[in-house]
Amino acid sequence: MKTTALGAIVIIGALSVTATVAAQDDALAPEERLAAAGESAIELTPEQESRARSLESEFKCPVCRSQSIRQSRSFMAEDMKRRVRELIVQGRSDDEIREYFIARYGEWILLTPPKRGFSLAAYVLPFVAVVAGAAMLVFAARRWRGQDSRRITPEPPPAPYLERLDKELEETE
Amino acid sequence: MRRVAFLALLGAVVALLAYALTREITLASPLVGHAAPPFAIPYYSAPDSNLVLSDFRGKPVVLNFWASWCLSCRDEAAVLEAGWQRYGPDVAFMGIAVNDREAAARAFIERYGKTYLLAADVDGSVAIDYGLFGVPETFFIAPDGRILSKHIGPVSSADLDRQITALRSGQVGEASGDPASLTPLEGGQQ
Repeated sequence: MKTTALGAIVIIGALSVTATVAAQDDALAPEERLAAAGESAIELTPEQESRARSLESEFKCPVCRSQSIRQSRSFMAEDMKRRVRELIVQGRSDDEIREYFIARYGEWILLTPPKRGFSLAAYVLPFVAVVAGAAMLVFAARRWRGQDSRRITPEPPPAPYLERLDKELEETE
Repeated sequence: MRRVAFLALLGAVVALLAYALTREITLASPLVGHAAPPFAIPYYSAPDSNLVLSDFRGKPVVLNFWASWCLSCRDEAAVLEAGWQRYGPDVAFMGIAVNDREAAARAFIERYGKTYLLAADVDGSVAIDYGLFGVPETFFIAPDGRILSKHIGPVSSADLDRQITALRSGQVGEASGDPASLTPLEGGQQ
């Protein structure tokens, strides 16, 4: 009974994977899409190319996990890289290109969050955590040291005990 | 006292993390409340002529992004066609296929009996203009051309009724839907 159920799960899983892979085959590869749109690669000067690469490293790929559009080869990233280059050729400044993508995706699109608003927490919190951690360490160290010193310097025993101890030692000798 | 301070600190950290995670997941569009980006892209039914958004100024628009390779787009195909049959032509229904092979898109249109306005975003420019993360995503555009809300993932009949009611009343809505049901716009190696 268990074997039959396991077999059914494996078959359903295999069919789902096959359906997904078959469905993805209907998507266009980047070069196919360019050809279908009748477009060719955008030529840039070395200075423009350097700007494009730098900007591409700033934008998060919308369909990836923490990858820039420069690192990703997904079709969305390829389209966005092309848009960056088009905007450079149109004479837009770096800030204008950043604003262009922020207007469409929000500040989410920036791989490095801006140093304002809620995103400021990403810059401030690590320092706060380090300072708080250091303060806790100092506090704990002081506490431990206080305990140790109490252990090392015990109160001397009362005088009668000391006298008795001396007396017993003399007798032993 | 020390325990209260510790719990307060823990609560603050958890609240911060929850806020950050929620912010990531809702994928709210900055386009909501602003003019819908214009486009002119070829119709599937008449590739020599273009579907031009500005031609529909004065009419509410339901703008859906889909792809034949997107499994959840199949779930909403019948809902959108039924919506078009119910609300059209007073409300314009548009479907834009993203990163799709023409033959596959046409087969999808035929299989699901889509009769509303369908066009192809051949170079992916409309997808970027609308800040797409995946498919399906649906934008609700007021007669004055402003985007009033965005739905992420497949729309249900109830979603459609609610959004069209809001659209007719001119209310700016919030992003709705389930980001987990979105099929990422991949189609290439990441």
